[in-house]
Parts: sequence; C-alpha cells; structure tokens
Amino acid sequence: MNALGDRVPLEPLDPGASDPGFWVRFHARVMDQAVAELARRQAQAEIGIAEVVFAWRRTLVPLALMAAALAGILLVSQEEPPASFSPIALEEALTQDLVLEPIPSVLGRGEAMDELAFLTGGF
Amino acid sequence: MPFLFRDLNKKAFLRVRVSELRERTDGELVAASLRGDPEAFGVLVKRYSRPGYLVALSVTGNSEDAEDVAQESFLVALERLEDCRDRERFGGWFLTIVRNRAKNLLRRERLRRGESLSPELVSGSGGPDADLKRLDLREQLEKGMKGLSEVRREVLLLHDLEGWKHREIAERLGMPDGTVRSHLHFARRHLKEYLEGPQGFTPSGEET
Repeated sequence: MNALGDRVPLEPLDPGASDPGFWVRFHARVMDQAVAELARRQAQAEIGIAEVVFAWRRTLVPLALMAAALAGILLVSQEEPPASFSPIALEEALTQDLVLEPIPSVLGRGEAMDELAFLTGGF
Repeated sequence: MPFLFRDLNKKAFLRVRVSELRERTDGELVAASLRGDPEAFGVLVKRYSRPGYLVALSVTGNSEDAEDVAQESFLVALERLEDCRDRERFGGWFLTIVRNRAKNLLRRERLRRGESLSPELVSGSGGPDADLKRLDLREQLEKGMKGLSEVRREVLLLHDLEGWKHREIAERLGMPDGTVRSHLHFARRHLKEYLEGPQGFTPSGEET
C-alpha cells in the first residue's frame, strides 16, 4: 500500500489552521509567563560575574602585590648589562693595554720600513 | 521624535537579532537561554510550540489540555534547563517533558473522576452513526486518532502535520528510523480506514 496515498489531511488538528493568530498568542503567553524566570537567570548571570571577581579579589590582590615587590627587587639587584657592541668600543678594547708612543720615536729605532711598527705603535 | 527613532532602532535591532538567532542550533539557543536571553528562548518557543502541542494532543486527545500542557512545559523546561545535558538534543528532552506532563494531567483527571488508570485513549469506542455525522472533521480526526497508540499518534502528527522527517522524529523520540516508518504506515492506514468506515472506526492492525 502506498504510504503517501494513505495520507490523511490533518490540518484541522492544528489550531493555527482555523485561527491564524493562535500561535502568535500562544508564543506571547509563554513569553509573558517566562519573564520572571528569564529575569532571574539574567540577574544570576550578572551576579555570577561579580561573584567571580569578588572571590578572586582575596587571592589576586596579595598575589599582585607580591609579584610587584619581586619585580622591584629583581630590578634593583640586577647587574648592569654588558656594553653592547659598537665599533668604538672594539677599537678601545684593542688599544687598551698598548704603550702609546709617537710615531717618530718608533720609527727612530731603525725599523722605519717595518710595517709592523704601525700596528704595534697603534694610532 | 528622538524617542521615536530610538524605539524604531531598537525594534529593528531586535528583528535582526531574532532573525539571526533563528539560524542558531538548539544548543546555542539553550546556552543563551540559560543566561536569561529572552530572544533566544523565544526562538526555542517558536521552534517547538507546534511539536509540543502535537505531542500533548497525542496523549490527551483534547486540544485545550494540549495547549495548556505545551504552554506549561515551556516554563518547566526553562526552570530545569540545567538538566538538559545534551543541549543540541533540546527537542527530544522538551518533548519528553510535554509527554510526561500530559500523562500526569490525564492521571489526575482520571483520579478526580474516579476512573481506572487504564488508557482510555485506546478505547476506540466509536459513536453511533448519528453522533458521528454531527462531528466536524476535526472531531472525527481526534476520534479516529484515539484508536491509535500514543507513539503512533505522535509519529503521525509530527510527520504529517509538523513536517518533520523520519530521521528527525527518530532522533527526537529516540527510536530507529525503521520503527518510525512502520508506525507512520500503520497510523495512516488506521486513520484512513477509520474515516472511510461506516462506523467511523474499523480496527486495522493496531495491535499495540
């Protein structure tokens, strides 16, 4: 037997079929009655956030203070960072312990043609 | 005038929001309703008003009782929304509330009237010809459906009136797809035979 052929029109059982405003009124009635519960839930959700903040306050405030104090101590006790690389610093480092003599006195030692004299003498 | 504009803007905003919410899944709407979002709950009410009413009707067999039960069930569902563990299956959970409340209502009424607790809806008593002729189509349908088991009434109404697919009914009523098809087939056949029968009622394979 064909199932579709057996289909009986059931629309008369739908109150909205004879009364187009039925479902609109039904919806409005349900929503009217649900107002109090929805408001309670809204309030609960808002209180929930406030409660979370309040509950964390006792833990968060001392923790934040301790973190700030620790950071302060670390900042104060920390050694100065090593000088950063720069061409001038490198040059100073290379020439730091060298005895500086004027070029003529170096040349006066008879090593006028020695290229190393320039290097050891430094500038 | 500014008040008027503000009001219009608010209404326009609500319209946009509600139309956007209509696209949301049951789970998303339940989550928002848990926070007391009236628009989200309103969309759930719109979505399940007719199915709720039809399930209640299939239990009570009375349109006024069905309306009351469906209406109350929404409020009960809202109050117990935390109990809906699988939010995406809100539909099935809600229809269970409707079914239980409808059964409770029947039980209370029977107790009040001092009747037995045996299901009267499966009586299939059928009236004399003269009485039947006075009934309009709606009453005939209601009467014809009394010869069906509750689950077959539910399947029939949800499929042929609400337009749910076999799969949706199976999911929400918690039964295999094949069982839904079988219930639908027998329910249609029974109702058709009832309406075409001389007494308005001829049993047709409604064993359950």
